[in-house]
Amino acid sequence: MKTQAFALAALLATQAFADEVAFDFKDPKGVNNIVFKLDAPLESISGTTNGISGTISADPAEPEDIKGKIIVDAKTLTVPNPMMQEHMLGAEWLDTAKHPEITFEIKEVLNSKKDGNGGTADVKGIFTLKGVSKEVVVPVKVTYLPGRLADRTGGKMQGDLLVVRTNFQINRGDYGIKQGENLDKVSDVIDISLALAGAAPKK
Amino acid sequence: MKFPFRTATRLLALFILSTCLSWWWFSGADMGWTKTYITIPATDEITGISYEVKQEKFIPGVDFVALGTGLSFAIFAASFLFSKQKSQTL
Repeated sequence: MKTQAFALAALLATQAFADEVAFDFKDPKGVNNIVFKLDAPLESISGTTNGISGTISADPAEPEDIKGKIIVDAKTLTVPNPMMQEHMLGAEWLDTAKHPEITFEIKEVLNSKKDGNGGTADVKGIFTLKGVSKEVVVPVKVTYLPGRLADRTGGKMQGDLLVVRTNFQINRGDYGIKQGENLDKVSDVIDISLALAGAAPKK
Repeated sequence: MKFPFRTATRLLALFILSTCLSWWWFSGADMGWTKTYITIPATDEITGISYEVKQEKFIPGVDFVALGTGLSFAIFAASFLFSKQKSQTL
């Protein structure tokens, strides 16, 4: 009887995790992108990065059950002006030599709403920039595309795609980036937009 | 052709100023910062993700104009260091 109960528990546990899929967000096509914008008197400063990696584990049937971490290689952040780029990556601003990664780690999913093959939710997580970690809540839109990895890879790989989109704001001063300084030249608020597709190849 | 050195220096300043302004004007007279690439919007057909494709292109901005103007004024000012000479060869 005891053995049977243990076997049933093991079976249920296996079933519970069977549908969880790990999506890899390293995108060789360079489509995954993060755009950041800061207001400035002459023109707003807009930059991008494609240096994104990380994994998100999700159960498409349970949108609130998402966990994982997105990592950005800070040195891949670019702005169109070379001098501005040098300053941005330098010690006074992002100090990418000492803090080479910007990360967002998912902690909890709130207010999830399922809509067809996707849904929306508020994701609570730890955002780390320039070595400073803070809890943030960001609105996320997730779209699950079952079997579409083959279309993206020309049939070389079979699997699913998970598209994650979000837009949120942070204050650079909160992360030790020239707190209270240069506010006449560039705003404190950084507007961040992410559009990422993760791939889960079928083995 | 013979130019007094002072005149030659001033012609150089004029050349730098006009080249700088012309380059900026004919590149679209961008009122922002100088850019070394532009972005072309694109959309991934499968995921629907909008992204930007970078294309290398030099777009002079107001900092380029300021640098060129400053340099030409500095050269013009330096021309006063040379005395007026009627027949100095370049």
